[in-house]
Amino acid sequence: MVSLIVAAMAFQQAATRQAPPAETVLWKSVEPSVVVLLRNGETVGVAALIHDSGLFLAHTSAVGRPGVQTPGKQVRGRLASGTETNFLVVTSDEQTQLTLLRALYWEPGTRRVLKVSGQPATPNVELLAVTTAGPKSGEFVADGKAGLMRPSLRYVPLSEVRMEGTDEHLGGAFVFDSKGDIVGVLGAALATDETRKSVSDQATGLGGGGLPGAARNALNTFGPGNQTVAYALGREVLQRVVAGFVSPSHEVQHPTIGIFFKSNPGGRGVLVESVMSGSPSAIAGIHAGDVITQVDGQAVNSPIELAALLFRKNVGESVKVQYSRGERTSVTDVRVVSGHDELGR
Amino acid sequence: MKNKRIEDILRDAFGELDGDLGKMTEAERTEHEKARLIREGLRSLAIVPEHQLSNERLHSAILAGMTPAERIEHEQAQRIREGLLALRDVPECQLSNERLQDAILSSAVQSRRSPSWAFAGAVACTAMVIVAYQTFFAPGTGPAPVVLEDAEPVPLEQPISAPYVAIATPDPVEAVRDEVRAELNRSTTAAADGVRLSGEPSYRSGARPLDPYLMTPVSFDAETTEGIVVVDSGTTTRNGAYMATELASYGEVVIGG
Repeated sequence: MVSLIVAAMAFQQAATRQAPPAETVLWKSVEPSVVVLLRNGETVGVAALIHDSGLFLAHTSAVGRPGVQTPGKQVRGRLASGTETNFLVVTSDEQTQLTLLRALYWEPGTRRVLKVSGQPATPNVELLAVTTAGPKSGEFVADGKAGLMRPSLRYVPLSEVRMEGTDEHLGGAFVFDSKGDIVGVLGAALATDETRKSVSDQATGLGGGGLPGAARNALNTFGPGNQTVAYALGREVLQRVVAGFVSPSHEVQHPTIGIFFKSNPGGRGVLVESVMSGSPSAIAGIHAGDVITQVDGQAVNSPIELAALLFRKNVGESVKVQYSRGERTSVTDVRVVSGHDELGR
Repeated sequence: MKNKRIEDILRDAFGELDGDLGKMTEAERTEHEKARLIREGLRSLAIVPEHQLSNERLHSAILAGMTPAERIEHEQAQRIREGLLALRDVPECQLSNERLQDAILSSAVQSRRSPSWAFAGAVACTAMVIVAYQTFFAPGTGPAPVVLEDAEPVPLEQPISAPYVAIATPDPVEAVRDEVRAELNRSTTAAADGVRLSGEPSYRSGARPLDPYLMTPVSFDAETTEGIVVVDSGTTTRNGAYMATELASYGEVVIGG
């Protein structure tokens, strides 16, 4: 009996020793569905399989110059097996800077389709980022950071992720949770080096003056221990983009009412900076200079609050906007439309 | 003699052969140098944690040990292999010396676009007959390229059996959109320039723009702390990502919605 127990324990120990680390298992499960994109033979980004017909999702920075990619443009990619193949740009989404690619030749059913996670990520949980060089460890820090994409000036919720090292090509890397589901696409990183250089120049007198307190804080806070602070397009926005990309029209339905706004220097509410002509807001009678104070009965105190609120609306529904113009306060119904269809953005 | 050769290989593998380089022939020296470079490339992988090893890293390590000429040769071999693999999908009746030549010369992509490739499987040979008929018996009505326009949705439930060529079609509404976009850019970027992230900051309405280097680190729940991350898609950082700047306040930042 004792020998049996000892044998069982020895077997268990051996099994534990031989089992590959969880990260390796995770990497092996996603690797076949990821393609490394190439430009003049150099690796420039990665793309992930999001539909069995050979549709791949990539960050625009991995496909070519920033901005909207021309449909029909060819991109070369290398599969995990080492085989190289060509992809066509089908469309790109300016608000998120994501691009849809289609493999020129694809055998359906040969690889696992990667899906966007349905669960919110937990802070301080380890993640696997797939970069052009392969897998990279990272840590999820927080969800729900307000992001503003320039030059489109659109709001996008971001997740903050800290990645090991500073040299790897992180732009457009995909971030996976422990189940191998996509939790983010790395869209941007803090310009740690530039910030450090500027701060260090100031500290050594090259930039003139002393080291400002806030800058000292920045030096201590960002890029700790050779890490990169990166921002990922989060789960919520990725779900919307993937749903739009795999639809027959390949269009992403970002809700909008056609206004641009900023903080109201005069106090509460949000100041309307401009209204797009022909947009639902223009039709509803909202003008530049109006101050929006409520949406659907909810008080609006900052531009981020308003942007986040509008971002969560569905295309096709109406919102009740309360605004003030001088002494007068009005309420109007504004239709929420798709930014792609109605505004060409 | 055989034992000496084995001994040399072992010494070479353990890096003990450098002293004997003089006794090597030119070809042996080249081989030895190649082995050394590849070994060095692979050795650099030793510092990579096991779970971060990938084919891409292995590929880079091996390529790092190659001379430029060898690298070109390697790439060419890979392209030829790919071209030949693509020939698997060509119906037998459409195989030709020209296609084989295309595959070897890495012009497979061009041949994939040729009209006859737009037909697949069993219908392909019939299509070839039609194309041949049109070409030889109906002057002036030669085969037109078969392309699927991007605007034409492809039903995703069905596997794509034929090559899909997306082409950009002129959008009649695009000109109007561009006009609106330009107008908006004029009105909105003027305000956004108040927080320009590089170059000389501009001042507007007496408001002083925020200095990105004086940014105050913000904690993580944006909806309560009101910080904002500005992502500039026109600028990339050294690691290939767009440049992000955290702003603790956004007085003059214009947001669209």
